[in-house]
Formats: sequence, structure tokens, C-alpha cells
Amino acid sequence: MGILYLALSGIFNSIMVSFNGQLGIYHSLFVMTFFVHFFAAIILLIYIPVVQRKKIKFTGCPPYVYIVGFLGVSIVGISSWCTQSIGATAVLSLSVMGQIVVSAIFDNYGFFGVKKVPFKKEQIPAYMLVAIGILLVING
Amino acid sequence: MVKYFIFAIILGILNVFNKMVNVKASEYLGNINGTLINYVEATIIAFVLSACAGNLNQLSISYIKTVPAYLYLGSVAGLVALIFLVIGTKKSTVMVSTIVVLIGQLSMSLVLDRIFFGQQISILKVIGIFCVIAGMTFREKIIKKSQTEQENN
Repeated sequence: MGILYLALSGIFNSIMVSFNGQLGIYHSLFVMTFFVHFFAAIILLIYIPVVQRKKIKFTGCPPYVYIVGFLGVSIVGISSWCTQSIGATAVLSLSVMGQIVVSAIFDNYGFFGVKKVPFKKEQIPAYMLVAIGILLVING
Repeated sequence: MVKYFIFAIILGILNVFNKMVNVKASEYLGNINGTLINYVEATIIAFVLSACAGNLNQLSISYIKTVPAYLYLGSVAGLVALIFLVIGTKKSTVMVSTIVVLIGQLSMSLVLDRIFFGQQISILKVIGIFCVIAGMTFREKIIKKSQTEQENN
């Protein structure tokens, strides 16, 4: 059952990327980014006090946590801009490459308090396989 | 074309930073408030940027009516994805969740690229997706093995 939920999560994530990419055709990048976050914010602003009966809280975090909004805008903006030109499959595949390389650096040095997992040469074939896959997705 | 490839890779890098900062936000504010701060802040920033770029006319009802309504559901799809991810990860392992989400994402994006962008579903693309998933599975297994070895030492 867990696998079904996870597969659905991936499917809905992909729908989000495609819809946002399409929305960027009608709106400027900034307005598209505004709508994407605005609707989700409204849903959560109603859900938290009404359904969860919890207090809305924004304070008490270290200052760097507040860059999260800038990251959100950048991610949605770049994702939509690239999807319009190269498609969601290529964007998602290429972003996987960026993700695994940076994750390996974070794991190796233990950045952000993650548990240190030293990089090992055995991982290189895995990265090569991903790179070959991306080349096939882009050129296929 | 190359610039889009570079930015798509940067997107992956930003996603990792975003994940880390979101984890910290949920540690201090709780899961749901941690998610909310992300959306509220981004809404304000995007509004200010839209105003600076002189695009506020696109927020008018008359303009919005010209856009297919279902396209505004992208953010709702994102929230649904997040809920399924949380439920699914609790019933599974991190490794399985990473791989299965990726399979769902890439196979659905192949279909949506066909519908929205008219891109053909070629056998090469399908093989490419298999390679990406196989590479990720392989990587996750090696990391898992390293973690187990560390714990045993």
C-alpha cells in the first residue's frame, strides 16, 4: 500500500511540474510563481486552524530558514521556464543528476547536520548509469 | 538549449537545499507550519517581483478567465503529492520511497510531455528512464550499505 502512495506522489508531482509549465505560457514567470504558491498557502491557512486545530506559527527559526521562500520561488520559476522548452521528462531527469551530485557532497561532508557518509568509488558506475539515462531521455 | 539543461541541473541542486531548509523549518515549526511558511513567503516574494516587473494586470479576473482553469491546480497537485509522500514514506523505507517516487514522476512526465508538448514517447526515452531509475537504485543501495557498515563499526 505504501508503494501505491509513493507512486501516486510521483505522478502528482509530475502533474504539478507540467501544469506549472503550461501556466507559464499564459502568465509571466513571476505571476505564475505567485499563483502556484498563493493557492497552496490559502488551502493551508484554512486547513491548519480549521481541520488540524493548530496555531499558525512563523517565528522561532534560525534566520537561514527564512530563505525557504526564495528557494520556493526559484525552484518553481526555473522548473516552469525549463519545462516549457525541453519538457518535464528532461527537466526531471537532469534535476536528478544535480540532486545526486549535491547530495553526495552533503553526505560526504555532513553539511546541514546530516550523517556523514563518505563518498566511495563504487558509486561512480551508478552516476554514470544516471548520466547515460539522461542522455537517452534528452536525445530519444 | 544548453542553458535549459544547465538550469535543470541547478534546479536539482536547489531542490536539495530546499529539502534541507524545509527539514529545519519543520523541526522548529512542525511539519505543517514548516510547509506553510514556504508558501506564504514565496507568495509575497512572487507578488513583489510581479509588481516590480509591471505584471500585476495579469492578476485581474478578466485576464485569469482567459487561462484554462485546470492549470491553476498545479499547486493543489503539489500538495496532494506531498501528502502521499508523507504517508507512503511512513509505510516504506527512504530508499524505496526515493525510487518509487522517481518511477511515478518520470513515467507520468513522459505521458504529459506527449499530451502538452507533443513529444513522442520513444523507446530510447523509456530505456533512458530505466537507466536513471537503475542508477538511482544502485546508488541508494551502496549508500545504505555504507551506512550499515558505519553503524556496525
